[in-house]
Amino acid sequence: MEKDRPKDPQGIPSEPLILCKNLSLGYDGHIVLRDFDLRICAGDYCCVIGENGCGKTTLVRGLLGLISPIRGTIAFGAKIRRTEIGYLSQQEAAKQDFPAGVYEIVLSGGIGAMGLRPFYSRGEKQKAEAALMRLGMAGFRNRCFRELSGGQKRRVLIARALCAAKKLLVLDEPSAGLDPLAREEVYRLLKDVNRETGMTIVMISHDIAAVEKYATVVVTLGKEINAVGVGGEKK
Amino acid sequence: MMDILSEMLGYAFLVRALVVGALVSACAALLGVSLVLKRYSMIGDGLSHVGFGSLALATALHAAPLAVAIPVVIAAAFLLLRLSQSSKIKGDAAIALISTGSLAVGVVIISRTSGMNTDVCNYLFGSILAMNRIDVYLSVALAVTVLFLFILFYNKLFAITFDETFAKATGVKTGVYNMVVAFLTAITIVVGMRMMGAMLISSLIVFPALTSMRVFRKFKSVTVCSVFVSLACFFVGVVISYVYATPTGASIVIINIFAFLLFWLVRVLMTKRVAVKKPGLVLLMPLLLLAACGKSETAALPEGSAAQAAFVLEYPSQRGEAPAQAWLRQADTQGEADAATPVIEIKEKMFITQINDIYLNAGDYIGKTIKLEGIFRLEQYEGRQYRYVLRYGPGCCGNDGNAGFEVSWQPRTPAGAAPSQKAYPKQDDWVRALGTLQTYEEDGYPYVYLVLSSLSVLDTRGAEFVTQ
Repeated sequence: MEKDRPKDPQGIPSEPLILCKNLSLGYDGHIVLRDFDLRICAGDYCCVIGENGCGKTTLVRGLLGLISPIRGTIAFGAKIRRTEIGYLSQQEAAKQDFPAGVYEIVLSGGIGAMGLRPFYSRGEKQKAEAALMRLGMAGFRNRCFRELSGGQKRRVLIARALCAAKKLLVLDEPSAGLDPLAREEVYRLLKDVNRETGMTIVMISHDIAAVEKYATVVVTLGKEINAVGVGGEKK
Repeated sequence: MMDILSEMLGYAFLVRALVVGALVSACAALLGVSLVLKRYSMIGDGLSHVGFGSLALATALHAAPLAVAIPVVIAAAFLLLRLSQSSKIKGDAAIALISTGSLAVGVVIISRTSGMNTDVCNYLFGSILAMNRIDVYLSVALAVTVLFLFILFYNKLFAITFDETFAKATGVKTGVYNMVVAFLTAITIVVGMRMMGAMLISSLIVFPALTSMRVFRKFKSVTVCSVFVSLACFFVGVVISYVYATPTGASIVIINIFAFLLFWLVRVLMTKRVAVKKPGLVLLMPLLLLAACGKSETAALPEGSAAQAAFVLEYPSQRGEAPAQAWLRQADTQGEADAATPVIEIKEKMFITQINDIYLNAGDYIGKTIKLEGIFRLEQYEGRQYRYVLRYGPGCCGNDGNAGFEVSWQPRTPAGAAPSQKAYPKQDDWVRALGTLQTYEEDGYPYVYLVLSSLSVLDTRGAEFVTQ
């Protein structure tokens, strides 16, 4: 199976979308990930793997700007803005009793791109409908989020992340709570999005089989942080 | 029901209070959904206590209440938000610190200046108090601004309330919007707290949201429903407070409790029988509740005078005992002869509030003819004599407050009351006074009083003690 990295039409390797230099991340001064460099390029399907507690989620939160770096820098390339990122977090999005409809939630994926504009555009509404359709949740459009099963909730949140993502999609264990069939579907869907639109994907996963099958770059977190292209080239 | 409503709408100050109250109820309900879901409900409570402290400060400084309270409460809102988000001091404890702290400051300021009085009591427990015109305009403008901004930021507020991490990750400046919510909450609380009372205003924020969350399951429907619930409870509460002379804020809260129980019941029925597919129908329930209340009120009070009659029974009629004094009667008819100009009659119901309104908006009433019944009192103070027609009302520490007007047959000179040609009735006689409102200055302070055109002693005494 050929897995070459996507190139610009001119054939020049794509410039880095995110570039981390000497980065240390952690919480309250306690360092979880120490002094590492990382380069994520446009069009990468990047999987982050590692044991529990090795800092996968910390890395992702750092990339998203949810925690600020203790040392070092994270630079975003010229082609991406913060409002063009979609995110699926590991935790349950809201508290148990939150009253929210499925469509309301998926639509809210567009919130970052809205800037100061107060209401959703027609395009954003269509995108939400399409994302619901894509995740097979169109029939649940008018349902209440808290009454869905764990797997259904997951799909709704993936749909929301798709709505938000224009250049980069960051997913923290997207397959959690999904049955094997649905899991495979999600991976394939992400691959399709990656191929069709050149969307960069950064995904935390424990599913080694899927990582081997789909990823173009694998980031292994441990004592050392290694980002390896699937061809074996070190990044 | 309609009689009561039209009677209520006859009072200009009550109409103003209704407008401001309805706007505040709507604002509080809208913001309440976000605050309750973000577990920030106690911020509302904390801010109202800060509001009390700053109103006390404004009173001490003789400053406009809103001008002092709004900046102070906004600052407190930002501080509380900061504290709730930082993990150093736990949010709920931080709120408790600030709210009790400012309550204490307020109480100390009051005890050093005016002392515990009816105003303070009103700040704590609320009243449909008369507001002056500028207050009303400012309140309306603020409330409308809050509504407008809420609608403008609705989608952002939903996204942030539902999942702040996601919103932040996709580039929304969540800190700014959290501040917007805190800002809007602060304004709503300051505007609403004088009506609802510092102790009760946060119920306007918490109840409607929790009530609608019993039945509705989407953010938008919860938001819309809580506005309706809040408005319905407000109006029912005010009507009940008017009819039964109960404190306004507390009455509104009690109606909110009923609404909550009602929605809970609907929820239980919905889970028992899944047949209720359209919870939207429940939107009509507040209206039904309103109608039901209207029915029971009219049943309880077939005539508006029923309550008055009950009062009169407590004061045995003196008919036949004290013969009417002819000269007073004559003066009375004289007064009514030139009553071509409209007379503002101060009725037993809303006696205190109507008089407060006249004092607060004195400019609108100077030169107007006012008619009221009350107890005639002659008081001596530093060698000067003052005559009043008044009724007793609630004070903060026992029933020591009173409301009424100083009266005089002749215009007052700076030296005190001019020697009067006409006689005054005996101390504690029940009188009906008709006069024009005028001002005079004494020791550098302006006072309003009635220049009498008639003063008659009545046989039947009305309610000497009034509560509203």
